[in-house]
Amino acid sequence: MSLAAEHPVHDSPRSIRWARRRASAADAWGRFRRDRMALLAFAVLAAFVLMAFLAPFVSDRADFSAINTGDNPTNHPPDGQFLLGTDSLGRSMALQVLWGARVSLFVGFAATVLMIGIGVAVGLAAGFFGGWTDALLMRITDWFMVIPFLPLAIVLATILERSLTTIVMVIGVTSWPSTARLVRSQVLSIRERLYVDRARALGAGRLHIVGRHILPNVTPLILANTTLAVPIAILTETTLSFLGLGDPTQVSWGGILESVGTTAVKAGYWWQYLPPGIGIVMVVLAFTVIGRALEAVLDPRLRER
Amino acid sequence: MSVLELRNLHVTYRTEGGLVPAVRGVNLVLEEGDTVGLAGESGCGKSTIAAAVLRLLPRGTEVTGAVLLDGEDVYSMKPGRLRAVRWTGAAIVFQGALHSLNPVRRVGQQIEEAIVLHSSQAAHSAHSARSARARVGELLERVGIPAANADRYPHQMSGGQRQRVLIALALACDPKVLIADEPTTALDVMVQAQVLALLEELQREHGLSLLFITHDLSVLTHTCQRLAVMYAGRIVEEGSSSEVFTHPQHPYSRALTAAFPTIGDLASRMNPRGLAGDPPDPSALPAGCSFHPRCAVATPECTTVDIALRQVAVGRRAACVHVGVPA
Repeated sequence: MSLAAEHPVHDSPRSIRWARRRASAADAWGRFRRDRMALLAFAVLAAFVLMAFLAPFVSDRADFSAINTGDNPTNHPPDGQFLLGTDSLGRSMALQVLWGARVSLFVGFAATVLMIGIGVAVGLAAGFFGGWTDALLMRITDWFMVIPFLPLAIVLATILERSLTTIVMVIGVTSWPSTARLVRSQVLSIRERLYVDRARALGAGRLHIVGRHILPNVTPLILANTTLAVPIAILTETTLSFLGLGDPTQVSWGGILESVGTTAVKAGYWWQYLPPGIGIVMVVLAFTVIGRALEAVLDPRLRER
Repeated sequence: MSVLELRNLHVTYRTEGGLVPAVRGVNLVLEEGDTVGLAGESGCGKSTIAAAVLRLLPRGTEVTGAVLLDGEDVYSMKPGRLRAVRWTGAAIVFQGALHSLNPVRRVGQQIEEAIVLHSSQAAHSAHSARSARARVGELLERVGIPAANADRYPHQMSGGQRQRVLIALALACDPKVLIADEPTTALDVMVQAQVLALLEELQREHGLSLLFITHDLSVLTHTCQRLAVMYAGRIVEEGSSSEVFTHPQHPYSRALTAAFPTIGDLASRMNPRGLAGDPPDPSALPAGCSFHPRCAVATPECTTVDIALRQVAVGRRAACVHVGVPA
């Protein structure tokens, strides 16, 4: 048997490139794995995401609608039949928490995408074009920044149709300014670099320069910002739902807290408010811990400390 | 027809402190295959000329006169035409190789960028991507870097290698004119010699016209046939490089050449001669000949009369009262 057959030769540039990518991904994962807290947070988050995905397969949404739960005991503490007890209408709390994870996670991700999208677009345009564009976009950014967030979100959620899309829109539209500022300041520094002049000398147009030279250099910043934006979006969704501004046809953790209300606390029905509350805290904490760990893994400067 | 011609070029920067004339009436002609050196102290307008050729000056900079690339005025081109001419008509080897390369992109991608930007729309196929990559390999091999290193990031290469990458990049679109803007500034002497040898070789091989900008006269006499010495935004002397270096006419060129010690010559070693003072502030130039405050042979006339370039001998001009006959 020839040696070459045993060890296939990988020497094409493409295979070398992929081998290098695999190696660096394995390296990053290895470093991430050494952080116990991050690994735990990752497991928690994975469990919640799995829960959210599996909800429609393991249960029927109709099981906790207000109409056909009449036979169930109300305000029933957890037992073998109802793992997390029931609420004042006799609906299973376990099912509600399970389905609530779907909404909270979906809104968290979707709103983050929207908010990062707007923020990056505004920041790039303002920083790169400068002059009038910059002045105009930054004044709009300032405007969104000085308006207290909650009243604006409440007004928007009130005048728009009550739906998940509205919630996502409200969060996205009101929380992009800090991202825009962050991106703009980084772009301002990058656009003065010599290699941008060099690209211009090459005959590159503006779109090309922004897409190929400026955006790749802001990406690490955007990634770091994203991991911090997801928990904020989830908390905001919870806040809005808790204030009764969410979609009444959907069950979300914030919505559960709102519907069980203070009566549950006063009556000591802990199974009604603790599970959704703990869910929120765990997901938000998991994202924050993962974000920190990722930052340390991806940024060599933090690693050396 | 000359491949590059500067006609009475004036470049004035607008700053918060007012107008700053950086280039004041420069005429320069580069024929096909010519190698012309542009020498002078920092701040005399050398790099401004390099940027002016491809219209890379900051917005709002005032430019008068003409820059003709292959007979076409760069300053009257439409944006699309200008983008097409950049890098195909004239390419620049930038100074500071570390900063001219994007740190987050592989060097191969950055050379490919130039090729892809200048290939036609229809060429954005898999085939052309492959051929672009092959061309990148060729270019890198040509400047003495293994083609496999196209996968490296700039920080994984040495200073000399990065400068070679920039040269490969400059050659990517087969430009007629190559402007080398202090390409050897940050390199040690050995690497500098290698890069110079490479540039000369490529110039001969491709019949390139080379405009070489540096403060280092010895580099220029080595590389260029003709030499122009700049002072305060003007050319004060020009001629064949060996003549200018051995028999400088203008007092400034004399001071420049005298600043180089001759190896083995004890007299020059024990008695280094430099030029006292600093180059004038371009926003507040002295009246008359702008060099007179630092000139050893200045006459009272020099403080009031600004001498234009005038003929000294065949192909030899200088701007000094002591030199040549007034026209």
